[in-house]
This record gives sequence, C-alpha cells and structure tokens, in this order.
Amino acid sequence: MLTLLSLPFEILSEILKYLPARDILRLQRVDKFFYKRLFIDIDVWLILNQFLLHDCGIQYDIHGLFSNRDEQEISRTRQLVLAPCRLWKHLQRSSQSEFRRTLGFPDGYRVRRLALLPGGRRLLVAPSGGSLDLWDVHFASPFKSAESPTQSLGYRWTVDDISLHPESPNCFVAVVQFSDDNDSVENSSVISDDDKAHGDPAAPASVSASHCAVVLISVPSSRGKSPTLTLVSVARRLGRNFRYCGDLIVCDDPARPGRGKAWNWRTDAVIEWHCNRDTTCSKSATQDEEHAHHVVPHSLTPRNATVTSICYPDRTQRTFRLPDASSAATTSAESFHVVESHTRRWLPELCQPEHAAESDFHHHSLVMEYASLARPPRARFPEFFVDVCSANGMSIGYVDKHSVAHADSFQAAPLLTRPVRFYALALDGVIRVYPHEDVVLVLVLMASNRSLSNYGEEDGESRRGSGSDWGGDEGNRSAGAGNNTGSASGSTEATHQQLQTADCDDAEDVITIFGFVIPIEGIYEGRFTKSAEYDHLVRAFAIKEQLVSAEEVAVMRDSEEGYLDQIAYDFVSGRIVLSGVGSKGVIILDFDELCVTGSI
Amino acid sequence: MSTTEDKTRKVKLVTSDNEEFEVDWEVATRSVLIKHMLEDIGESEEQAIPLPNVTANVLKKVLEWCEHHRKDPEPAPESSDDNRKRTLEIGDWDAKFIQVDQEMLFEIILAANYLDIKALLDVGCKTVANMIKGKQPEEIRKMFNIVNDFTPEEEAQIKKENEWAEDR
Repeated sequence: MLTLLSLPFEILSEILKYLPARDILRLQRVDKFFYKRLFIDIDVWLILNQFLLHDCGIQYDIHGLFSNRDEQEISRTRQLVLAPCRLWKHLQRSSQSEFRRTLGFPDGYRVRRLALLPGGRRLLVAPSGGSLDLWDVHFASPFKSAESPTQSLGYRWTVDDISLHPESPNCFVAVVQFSDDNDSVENSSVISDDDKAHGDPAAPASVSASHCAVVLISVPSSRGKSPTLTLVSVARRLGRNFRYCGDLIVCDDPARPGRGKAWNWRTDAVIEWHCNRDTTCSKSATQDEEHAHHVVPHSLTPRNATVTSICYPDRTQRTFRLPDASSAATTSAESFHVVESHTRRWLPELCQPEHAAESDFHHHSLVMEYASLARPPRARFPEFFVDVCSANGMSIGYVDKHSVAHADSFQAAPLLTRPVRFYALALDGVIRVYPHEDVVLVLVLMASNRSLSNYGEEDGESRRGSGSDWGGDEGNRSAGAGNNTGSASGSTEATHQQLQTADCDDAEDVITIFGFVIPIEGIYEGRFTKSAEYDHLVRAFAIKEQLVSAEEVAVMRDSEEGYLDQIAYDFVSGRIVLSGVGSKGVIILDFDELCVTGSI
Repeated sequence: MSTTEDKTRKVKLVTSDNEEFEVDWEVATRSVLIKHMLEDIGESEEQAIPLPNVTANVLKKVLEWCEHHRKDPEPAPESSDDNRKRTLEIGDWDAKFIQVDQEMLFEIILAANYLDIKALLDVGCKTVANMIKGKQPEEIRKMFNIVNDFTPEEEAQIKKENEWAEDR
C-alpha cells in the first residue's frame, strides 16, 4: 500500500516547500524515517529556506547560495537550523570570496560603485580597476552572469560615482576620475567635438589625476551589448574625492579643509564653498518656528557650509522655495529651503532670501544621493519620499507626491521631518525613510567609522543647547538634554528592547546598514531618539510580517572588511542593492517583499 | 502551439495493467511526458503511448483532471520566482477532485510526477501539506498511520532541538 513514507524524495521535498519550518520539524518527530529524511537525507537548507520564507517572510536563496555545499557545510547548517538566529553570523563568517565563487563573481572582484537599472534586473557595477560591468540580477541567484564590459574610455580611469540619469531611462551619469597623468582626454575617441564645445574653454588641455569628468552611460536594452560611454563634460580640475549630486560635483580643497568647489557640469558653473564651522547658531526666529525646527535642527548648524559665491549661468531657471511662503521674509539663515530647478532636481540649501546670491549652502556633502530624488517615488509610496544623506555631515532633502516642495507638503506630512531629524542628528550615514500606509521603513546606511555609542560625545560640544528642538510631540521631547541625542520618552523603551540585538561590540568599525519599521504613531511619539537605544537598533532589520511590532528578525553586520558604501535602488522593481557591507560584498533587498533576496 | 488538427486528434494511452484509453490530444498533452512522446512518434495516430507506471484507475482519475483543465494555459516554465513562498490555496474544483482516500492521493501525486503534470502535482502536494500543517506529531502519525519508533527520550531531545521553530 502506498503511504506518505513511500513517496519519493523529490515529492516529499515538494510537499515540504509548502510548509513552514515549524511543521517540517514536527514531521521530523513523527518517526525515525522522517527524522532521517528531514535531517540527513533531505536538504536541511530547505528547512532553513522554509523557515525564512514562511516563518520569517524572508526570501533568501539558500540553495543558490551554497549549491556546492559539502557534508561539513551541511553539518554546519544543521546547527544553523537549530538556531536560525545564527544565520547572519554564519554569513558574516563566510568569506567574501566564498560568496563570490558560488555566485559567479570573479575572485578579487570588488564593487566600487553600482547602480540598478530600471526594472531592477540589471546592475551596473564599477569595480575597482576602471571598467564598468553589467550583471544580471536574479532572485534565485543574484548575479548569474556578467555581460560585456563597457568599452574603454581610452585612458585609465575609475568611476567615482554612478547615478541613474534623472530623465533618461537606462542612462546613468558617472563621475570619472582619471588615474594617469600621462593620459589625456583628448586621446579618447569618445569625446566628440560637441563634447569639447560644451566644455569650459579654460579646461586643462590634458587630464591628470586631479581631474574628473562626467560620463553618460547608455545601457542597451538588449542583453549582450555593451554599455556605451559618452563623455559629456570635459574634465575639470577640482580636486580629489569627488562627490556627485545630480548636476553638482563637489570636492574638497585638500589644502584648505572645509573649503572646496562644486561644479555644475550641466551649466559648467563653479561654486566655491566653505564650511562655516564656527557659526554658533541661535534659535531660528521664523514665524513658523515649528517648521524651521523640524527641517533644520540647530545642532546641524556647526556643520553648515556657506557658499561664498554662486554662479548659475541661468538663474531664471531656478527658483527658491521656502517651506512656508508666508514666513519667507523672516526666515533666518538656519531655515531650510529647497532649490527647485527646471530639471526637477532638488537641492537642499540654506539661504537668506534677501541674499540669495550668497545663500548658505546647507552642507557640501549633500552630494551623495540626490540624483535619485529626481525620480518621483513609486506609486506604492505615494505620499512622500524623504532622503537624508551625508558624507561628513547631514543634509536633508524631500520630495512630495507632486515633486514640489512647498508649505502644504510640509504641513500635510509633519511625520517626514521628525524621523529624518532624529537620525540625521544621531547617525552619520545615509538614511532613507519610506512612509508606507501606517508604518515607516527606515534604512540607515552607515558610512562612518564613528562609534554609534560615542557619537554624541564626540560632537556633543558643538551640539549643545539644542535639546529643545528634539523629539516629536511635545510630551516626548527632550528638554535640553545637552547633546545631540537627547533623551527619549520612556514609552519607547519596550520597542527598543524588541529591537535589541546581541552584538554591539566593535563600535569603532560601525555597522553599515540597518533597517527597521516603526508605526507612524511611533514617530509622533518621538521614538528612537535616545542615544543608548541606537546600540539596540543597530543591525536590526525588521521583516514584513513583523513590521508593525518592529521586532528584530535578522541582523546584517560586519566589521571586518568595511562598511556599506553603495546603495542602488529601483522604485519600479522595488529592489535595493547594497554593496560593501563588509564581507557580504553585495546584498540585494527586495523592497516589495521587504526581504533579503541574495547576497554575495 | 496546437493546431486545429491537433485538437480533433485522438491519442491512445495504455496503462500498466494493459487498459487502453483514447483521449483527445488536447487532454492528453496536459502531460508534458505524453506531449513529448507524441512529438517523438510524429503523426502516427495508431501508435499507443505506453504508461507503465500508471494503473488504469489512477489514469482515469488523472484524465478527469486533465479534461477539466484542458483549456488552461500552458504552465509557465520554471521561473526565477520558484523560490518564493508558496500558498496552500486550492481551487474549489480541484479541492473536490482530490477528496480521495490517501492511497489514491499518493497514486495521483506519483502519476502527476511521472506524467509531468505540474499543476496536478501541485494540487496533490498542497493537499498533503494541508493535512500536515499545524498538526502535532501524534496527529500526523494517526492521520498517516505511522508508528512512533522513537523512545520518549529521543523524542524529547528532538523536540528540544526544534523548539526554536515553535510559536514563541
């Protein structure tokens, strides 16, 4: 007689794929046959997979990741199954080359910059060494195959930054840094006369390591073809360490810390900036004090930069908007303003309306992510998209659902400013906040070697006196706590305990990313504002099923090999790709599912 | 792509117990195995397809399913989404169809697997998974008539090992 026990191995596997790990493991206890099947014969990875899929809601391609597993690996995994919370630790222990070998990346392949193509299926990667590669991104195996590398630019170069072109699908803008003094841009076959014509006549005749150029990368829609590079701006000698933000390429003056230039490669305007680090800011005296505080906390001001000169060749195409038009006349320099351009590119600036030409540049390090803001948020996040980014300090940008920043949008969504402000003040990194229905997903990307726990101490002095503009609702605000982290209401304690993670050591090499979801009401309550609580939040990544409870599920962390330095995302596909997360190299998050789909 | 001629064509199937079934081409080709075999033998209508791993009573049941689903679109090839979480939902007709005794259920699953009828295999697997889901080991034993050969100590040990997966 045919029974459950007589079903062949592959059918039993199929049945198990419909079951949560809990039921699979109960089946294991039915008799010794099942015990053997489920823990010896059958793939223990399946159990782990099922646990992640059904019990946790994480889609993680365990099978693809370790397709060449051996007995020792299985044995190790069995232990993991017994304690799935160790999964991430296991992944941390696995070497980068191990992941790469499994998934097809060549040994030694290090991702320097990356960007996702619309649709989230292809990834443009600038590895170390001056090339650009296209990779197929699959759910099952994130990086199946590499497509042809790009044509050479004709000289040695490295990609300093890549960003999706705001107006052209399948096009990217890259900032290229030259690495060889002896090579000249003129030697490149990709520079047309038109390109040169658009450049600055005063641009150097040859290109050296201190020069950057802007390259348009056109990625063909059909597979197998190489991306095309087109130099769209002649290189400028600006300095090293370029940072890219839409039209702007910003760099520091190595000889004069706190100073530098910003080059608008579209208009070829050059902005000189310097950090006004000595500024001691008093409380803003705006009519709409609440808005001003929300947008530009005082504790940010020591990091503000002042633009000493601005040259916009076509000023008429830019308008300055204030958060609240009615308060424009009295808005002080600490207020937050958005520059609207005809290109729908947004830059946060501090400006005095009456002295617009001498606007305070909120911070020179706003360059990291703003190109992405040019694309309106996808429909499933219809309300707002908030982006806070920083390399050395903090900048704040926002776009409302009409891609127009104005008073109404601020008033309609007070929640926007609050979590942004909290994290911007407390963390040195890139923060993305995605309001969605009744929750907000916060992804925090750390790009600092600063300890979370001592962050406030380090900068505390310059941030003192700003406690009153902390917190959310009145009842939960910190009252002059003295440092930037203030103190949170006791009502948040339970939530933070839920998010507490085990490992908070190695603070010197900080975590690179963590994400979590909090109910919107939590934002209003001023949660996540206490410094000590950040230690508990670090490395927590809440998954879909537990969004509302904000319970920690998994941890992504690595302190051995670096930090997260790149993020690419595609609103249409809902994919986020993170690179440089320690030994993981690259992690793919599926934003629709709010789950990790792969990693190398 | 099937042609009009294909749709009127009849296919002969011979079971392991030598019973012959004549079915419409459209019904028979719900089975990928049969479809490929028909492609191999070409236009020969007289040649029967042997199905040595399927008995007549099981094939009859399988063909009933194929008949009902003859107009269903071609199943998609294995996709990259195969790794996604699977649901246990079964359509009304399929749920009624699969209300059979356990032995027949497993026979259908095996036949669907052999004949490469993925949708039917899914129905069978979901049914078994539904029978297992949420049940304690003792209930599973009872349902599938399995004898517990663990000692109490062994069972307790395994239970302890698996505690992490239980509701907490």
